[in-house]
Amino acid sequence: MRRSSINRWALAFAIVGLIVISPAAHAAGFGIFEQGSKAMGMAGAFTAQADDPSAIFHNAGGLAFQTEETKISAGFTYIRGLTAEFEGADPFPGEGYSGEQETLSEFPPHIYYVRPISDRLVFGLGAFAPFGLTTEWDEDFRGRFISRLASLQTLDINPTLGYQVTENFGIGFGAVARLSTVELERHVALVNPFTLTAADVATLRLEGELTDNVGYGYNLGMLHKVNNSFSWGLSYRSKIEIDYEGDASVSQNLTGTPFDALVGGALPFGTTFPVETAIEFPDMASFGMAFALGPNSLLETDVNWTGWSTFDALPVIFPGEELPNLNLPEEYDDVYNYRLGLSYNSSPGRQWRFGVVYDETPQPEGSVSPLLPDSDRIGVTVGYGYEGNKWDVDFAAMYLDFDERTRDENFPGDNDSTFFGTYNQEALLVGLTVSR
Amino acid sequence: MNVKRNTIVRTLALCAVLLLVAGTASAQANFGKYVAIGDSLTAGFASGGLLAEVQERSYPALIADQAGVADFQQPLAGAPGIPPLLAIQGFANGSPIITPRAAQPGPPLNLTLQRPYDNLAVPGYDTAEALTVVSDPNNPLSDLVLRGLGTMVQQALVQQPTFVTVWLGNNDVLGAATSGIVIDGVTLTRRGDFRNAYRTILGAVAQSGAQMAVANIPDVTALPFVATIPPVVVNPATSQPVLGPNGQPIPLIGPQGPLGPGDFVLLSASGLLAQGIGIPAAVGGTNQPLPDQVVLSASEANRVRQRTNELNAEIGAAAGDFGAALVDVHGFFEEVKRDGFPAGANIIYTTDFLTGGIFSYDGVHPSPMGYAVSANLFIDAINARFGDSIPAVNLIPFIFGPDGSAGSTIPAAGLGNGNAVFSNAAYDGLHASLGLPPMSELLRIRDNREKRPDKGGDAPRLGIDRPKSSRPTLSLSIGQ
Repeated sequence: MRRSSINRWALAFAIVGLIVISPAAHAAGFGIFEQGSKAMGMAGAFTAQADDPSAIFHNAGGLAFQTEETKISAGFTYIRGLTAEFEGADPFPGEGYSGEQETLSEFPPHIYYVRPISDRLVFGLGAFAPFGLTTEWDEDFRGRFISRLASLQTLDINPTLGYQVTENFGIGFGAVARLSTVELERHVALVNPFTLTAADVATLRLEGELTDNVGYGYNLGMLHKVNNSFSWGLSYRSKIEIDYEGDASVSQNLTGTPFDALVGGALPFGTTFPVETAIEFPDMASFGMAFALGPNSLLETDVNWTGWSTFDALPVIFPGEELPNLNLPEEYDDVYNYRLGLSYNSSPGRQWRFGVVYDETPQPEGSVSPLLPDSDRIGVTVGYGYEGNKWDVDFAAMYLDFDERTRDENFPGDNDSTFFGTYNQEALLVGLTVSR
Repeated sequence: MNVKRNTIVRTLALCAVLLLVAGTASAQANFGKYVAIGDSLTAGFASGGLLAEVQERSYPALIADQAGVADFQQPLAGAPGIPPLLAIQGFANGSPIITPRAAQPGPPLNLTLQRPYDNLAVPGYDTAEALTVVSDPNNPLSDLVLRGLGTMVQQALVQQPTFVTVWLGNNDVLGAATSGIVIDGVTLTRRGDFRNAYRTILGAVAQSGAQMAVANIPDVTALPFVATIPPVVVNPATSQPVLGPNGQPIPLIGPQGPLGPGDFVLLSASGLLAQGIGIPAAVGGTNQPLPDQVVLSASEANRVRQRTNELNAEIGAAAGDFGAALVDVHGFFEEVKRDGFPAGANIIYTTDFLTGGIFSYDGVHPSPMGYAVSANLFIDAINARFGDSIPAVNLIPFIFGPDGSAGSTIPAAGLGNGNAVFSNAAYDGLHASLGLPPMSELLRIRDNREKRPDKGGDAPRLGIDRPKSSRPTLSLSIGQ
């Protein structure tokens, strides 16, 4: 019975492995920190607890203490964009112009398998999507010549070992294989000599398949349960570089003038040709301290550091020279975010959770664009956990309010692709994780 | 105590006076009555003619709109334009053919206005002509604008303007570049002559109490009319140079033999090149040289650039002396030549002929987009000089149409790559509008000059007057 259920989970795992995509950026930059609903209920302040299978993501050191039973945990975070608006400014696209993103509605899943090997050694396997991004604008959006659609998806496969060095000190380490897809679409504008106005003459699409693009890294963690009322933890996930190979294609957008014939001869329409890019995903370190406030309540504070300065540019290379190469400067900065979580056991097996997170954006103003408009954000969370005889169920909700982000200046090296205005976003996240 | 209070009162009073003075000094630009003087660029001339729908988006008309001027009158021309505007009218061997849209010009639309126009720019006028010439028999547009009511400057001042824009000097160098005939004192105005005329104009405007913005002269050797056709044989199918047996491009044949890399072949040569003139027999040409008037040699181009720099120095000095805002068109054009004009969101305009979007079909004058960008240069300079905050022209309608539209007729025929062919008819219309004498006259002057060699520069004077018109002595009568 037990065996068959695990096989079913293994099957689910495999399926998820094929389809897991994480299309929305909901930690600043394009990170996603919501990889387990218990942690999410406490705004991700979980490094010093890490007492469920999501320790594989949050702190491998916590795995060392999960020696009691084999456990499977699976869930998703439903990310729903509430607002994703753009208000234009002069000179381009102009005061009074506004644009809207397609409503974001995605379900990045997470799945963990934890199996004790001895009373001090625990094996874990996790699959989750720690980075993701979808920015999709209307077909007639005036920023479409910079980006119409940008979509990045990742899937980490993360086998991890946890080891209890002493009764109250655990360490963990793991290997990470990150699969990723990237999809970019932008339109191309040229001056139509028959009207002397700008014409939208082509759409350029770049796509890389999930299975073709893999990078490798590792994770480390430690958790020290100093006494019954205090613990601290430290967790690190390494940076991972992925070199993408994909397909590029260009389709023609007709102007209805003889210019179409000229453009038709000048761009490689109707063929698919190779394209390459590379992204160095940042490393992340978390430090957390958890304090028991009493027999039934606990407070944790975390600081996370993300080494976003790895994301300095997005190169787009056409090895066959069908089109000129692009290099989109990003120049991200390393950032910190701050998390505060509180749990309260209302009765045995029933836990309320609350949290607040302040997340700094790594994005400098010079790379704020329709490709990815990011900003500082504050999230508030509420969560509830239920421990049943067979099943544990964790639920969390997060309201995420982004600061307005305004771009009103050109910077050296940003290709002078003036697109001024203010981006405004808010989102609701709902997490559900089931474990047994 | 009393003494102290008095001191305080006096200090406060002084402060108030100083504040008042400071307030006056930083007064905003006064567009109560705005008048524009200049040449074809100020008139809103594009694609070889004046046409109301383009004139309504001339840079002075756009500035007037932005500054809230209620009644800005211009000498509007009806369709198909005066002269008829050029358009891409067809294709020959894959090359677009640029010709006038119609044979007959359109009617004047605002000829009966009972006062001088606010845009008094006369296409073809150089600086001295703005000051002295009421009617030029070689230039039909002078009567369209000035209507016998006085010189450009007289008609400007009689309206008691509060703000005047001046963009003159282009035709003091442009004719040399577009005719390929560089004759000091004829197609290139001498520096001293320019200085006298220019400072007379700015002095008169300053004396009237009007505020001023003045623009300088772009590098006319970088205009598409001059810079488009390379001095080597090009394969029209690929737009790439044909390589000779030594692997090098094959030079075209100019009046003095094979052209060098710094020589320019003017757009007016395109019809001749299509007939094989200027192309060596070895690659299918006639071996006949291109005539002098379609070639601007490297040394001629240098003389034009040098004179442009000299005249710009005079413009800059005069602007400073007379308190005018200086619009650095020359500097801006250098930037656009190098980097293009990023209109926004990866839409890049360039100075390229036909595909660049900044210039119209005549290769000399801006497109509506080019004029809108010019208006913003003026507005920036005016705001900086007079502490004003006139809003910039919104470029969006110019970028995506309809305001930017060239209004071209669009033939259904297919086309391939290739160089545009600039028809003789297209050139004839443009040539007259540049204020140049007929080419035969120009060549006669050049030939006379070559018999008596000119060392260049301001001296020696050879006593050959420009043949366009007689120059009455300067007499400004500013009516009350």
